[in-house]
Amino acid sequence: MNKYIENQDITYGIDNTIRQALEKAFEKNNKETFKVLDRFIKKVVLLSVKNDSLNHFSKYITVYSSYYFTTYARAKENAQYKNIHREVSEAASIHLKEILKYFLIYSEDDVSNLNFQKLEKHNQFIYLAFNSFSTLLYSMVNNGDNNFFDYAINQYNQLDILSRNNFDDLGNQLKYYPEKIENLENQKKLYSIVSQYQSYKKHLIIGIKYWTYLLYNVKRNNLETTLRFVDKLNFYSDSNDFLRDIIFLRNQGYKDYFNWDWWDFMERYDMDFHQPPSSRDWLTLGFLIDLIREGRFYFNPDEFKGKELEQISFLAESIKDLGKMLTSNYSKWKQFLKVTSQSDLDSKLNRITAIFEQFTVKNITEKKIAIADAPLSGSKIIEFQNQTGKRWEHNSLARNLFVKFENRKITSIDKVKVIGYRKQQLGQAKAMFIEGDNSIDSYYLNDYGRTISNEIDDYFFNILFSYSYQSFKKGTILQCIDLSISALDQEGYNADIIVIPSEYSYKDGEFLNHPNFIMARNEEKDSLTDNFLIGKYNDIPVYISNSDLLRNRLIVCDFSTAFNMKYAEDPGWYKNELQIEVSLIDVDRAREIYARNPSDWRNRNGLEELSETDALINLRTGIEITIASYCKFEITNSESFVLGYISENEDQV
Amino acid sequence: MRDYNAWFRYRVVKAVKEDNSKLFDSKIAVWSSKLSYRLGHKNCWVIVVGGVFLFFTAAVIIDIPCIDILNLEFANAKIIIDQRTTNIAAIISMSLVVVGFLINNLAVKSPITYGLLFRKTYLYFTIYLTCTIIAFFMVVSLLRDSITEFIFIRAVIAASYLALSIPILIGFLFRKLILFTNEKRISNMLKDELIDEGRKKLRSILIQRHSREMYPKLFDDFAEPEFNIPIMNFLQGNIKFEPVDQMPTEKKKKLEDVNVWLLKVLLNLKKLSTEELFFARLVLEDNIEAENDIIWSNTSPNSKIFKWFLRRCIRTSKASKNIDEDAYRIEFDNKILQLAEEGRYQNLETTLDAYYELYDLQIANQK
Repeated sequence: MNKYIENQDITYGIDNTIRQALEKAFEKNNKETFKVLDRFIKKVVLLSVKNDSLNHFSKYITVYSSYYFTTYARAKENAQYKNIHREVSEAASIHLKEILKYFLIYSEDDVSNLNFQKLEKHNQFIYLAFNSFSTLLYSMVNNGDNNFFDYAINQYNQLDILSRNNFDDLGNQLKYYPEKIENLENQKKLYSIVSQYQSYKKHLIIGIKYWTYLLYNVKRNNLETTLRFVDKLNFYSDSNDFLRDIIFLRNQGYKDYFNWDWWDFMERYDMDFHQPPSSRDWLTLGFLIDLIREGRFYFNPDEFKGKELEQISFLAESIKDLGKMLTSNYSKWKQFLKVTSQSDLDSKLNRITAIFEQFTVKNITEKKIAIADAPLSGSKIIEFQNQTGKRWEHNSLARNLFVKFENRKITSIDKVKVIGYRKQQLGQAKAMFIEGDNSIDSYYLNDYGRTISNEIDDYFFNILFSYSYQSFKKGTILQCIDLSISALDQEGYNADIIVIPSEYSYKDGEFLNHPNFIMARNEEKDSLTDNFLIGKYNDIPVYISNSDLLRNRLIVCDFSTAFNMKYAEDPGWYKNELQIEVSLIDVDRAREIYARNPSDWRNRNGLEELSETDALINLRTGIEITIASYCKFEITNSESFVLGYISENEDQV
Repeated sequence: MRDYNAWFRYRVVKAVKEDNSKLFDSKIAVWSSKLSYRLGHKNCWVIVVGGVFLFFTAAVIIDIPCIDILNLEFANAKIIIDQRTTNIAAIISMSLVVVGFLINNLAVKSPITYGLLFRKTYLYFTIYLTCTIIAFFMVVSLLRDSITEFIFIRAVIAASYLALSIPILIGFLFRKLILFTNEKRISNMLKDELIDEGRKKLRSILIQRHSREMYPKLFDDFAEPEFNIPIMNFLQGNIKFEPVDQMPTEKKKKLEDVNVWLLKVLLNLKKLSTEELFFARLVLEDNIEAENDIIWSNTSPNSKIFKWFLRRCIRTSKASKNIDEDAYRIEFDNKILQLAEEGRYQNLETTLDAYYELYDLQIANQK
């Protein structure tokens, strides 16, 4: 298809022609031609701003930043080109400044009518213009070009004068006197959008400044050059806002903010597998250097909360490592950091570390308090109950057999045994049962169901094996089963089920391949007991159990007559049988538990002891769990079951 | 001629005109530009020869008032015809010499400007007309003794009338040709052509965009609960045709128009035989494949008659690789690079003005 129609743009490709024409003009050292092209570009840029055409704007605004670096190489080789190089570089900064200062201001109509969509679109234009300026300054810094840089940064600083895009008043009002503002939500949103102009402005300077530090670090620029750059790169910011900015900028990687992740300081050949320096790293280094150099920042942990504190903890970690790097390279950095001696540097670093330590502590404390105070989430408890209950239901052979044969009856709770846990404390586990930022997933808790069912099975087998009247048949599993079945027969009972240890589902080939044994197919398994069914021997269902107690033994019985189960019921329990409850530890209960053994709860394994309040908070990050099954197994007829013992050697018992 | 609501193109153009009415010229402007294109084209000899022949035959057979008025003696007619032939030959040869000289002194010598010159001055038309008239004079003169006096006289009169137009055309030719010696006028003309080319493309873009949105909506009317038309791609169903990337460009056709009423009738017919129906996402002014199956169903394939009717619903034209489509953009691009190379910044400024107008046009109409 025609490429203009494909791109839906009849002007497609014109910008390429213009760039090529500019190249030619530079090559021929022709100022007039350049001026004509420059005028054209400006006209098109202004046209696109006026008509909101981001597409065309983005194509041309980047041309300005290329003015400098395309003429730089030529000017370096050949003095003839110096003139045009200077003229075009100055033109670039002047144009960008004009566009940002006069043409990209927020329209008063949009601001007063709260046209958020239009204002946000406007921000896209503003970002592109700042990005172009950023690229311009970046190339100048990379070339160590102080003179041109001075000119450009002077132009940049003029963006502050005539502050039509300055909404600081609104910002201050929102911060200090929010009650006095009408329509607070809208004004907040408005401020979040229109403050972007100043944000971009500040962030650009931060980026360039910290990039110059990196260039000094990798010896691309010398000390004097870097100092001259840094002197010109000033920004003014409230301490806490500055910290917020740094957190924000460190986490910008995926958005490719100002293309910082592409900035590089040397040519990389294709053969090297390499990436440009990570913006997160050099931003953090720059931040630390600024802290030491300027020494004017005072951070207040109370103004930060939640996720910010977490980010600041990570920042604190990085700062510790970078601090070590600075200390070991003291001679390189000493003039830079304005420190008088190594011990001076160390003390400054310690001070900084201490400040951030406060943040870390506050982070942890805040998190814990949030968890301790949070209510339990009903849905999560229900989910836990369902999961646990399901596991219990599917994993208990004994109980399911009783359900299948229906030889069980309900009785009162005092006549049965309790299997499981009641009101057991689970420390630090409350986070699994709350909603919100601090919640975590509860994987290991799901095992409770299986544990309970294993205990029930063990209880059942215990009763069986401790019964004084036992009957043993010995031999291989096949012999054992046959002997047991015939023994039952003699007593006059028909075998209902056979229960064998789980390893025999694969171990004994003779048994498995016996013609009388028919493997159960997966399609036939539909009830709960069928989870344990492996097949039928002489039409008697064969079940397996994982219980340790069943090792090398088997049971053949007439289940319905042999055993009986009594159990307690309650409508609030899972399937009315399994009690699953989760309750939080409130302040009174925490005090109760604490009072039993105060020193235990305050002990922190070698670290400083916790205060009572902190210990109570720790307690309250736990929960109390009850998972219990109330049942009792009995043998009703000792003659209708037979125990077998599988031994290779008949003499062994 | 397809200017009513039954046709899809009419609907789309109406929708586009709501927002971008300035892009579309009035009917008179469209017709006159088409006419001047036809007459200025190098293949207009067909029209010319045909027209002249018709005029002659008309003159000889029927009573045209302008020919009836005049009376001519047979002897005079014989003299006139010889003299006219010589006159015309002389005029045309002198004119061609001057034309050749002027063309040599064109301010801008490039293939595009030559093409523009030939078109705007109707040079081809003039030359063809002159040559045809001379040819007819010669034929008539040859037949002077074989045809009746009456026919001969009438033929001569008709030919003389035609011959009158030649000096007028030549005058017009010179008038237009002189302009081409002025560089500024040439660049203005080129700019107009560029803008026209841009407008044409922009119209095409907008029509495509709107037709892409509007075509599926045609099938919304059939949204009765049991009638489900999901959008499908060509790879399902029992349609056989060659894979798209192997199809040579000559075989591809461009979709010009769709007859909506006929299509709806066929849709209703098809609905009776099957529940699930699929339609191809057609886009005006874009390539179309499988013209015989623009609606189909998986369960009941289209019969031959049905396919024939489906083919009647659409109008296509050959999707030729038109090299002339982007001629002016390419020309201007090259010109800018050349001017930058040579450092001729004044001309560069005027050329860039043309591009600025193009940007204006695009930005105003791109919504």
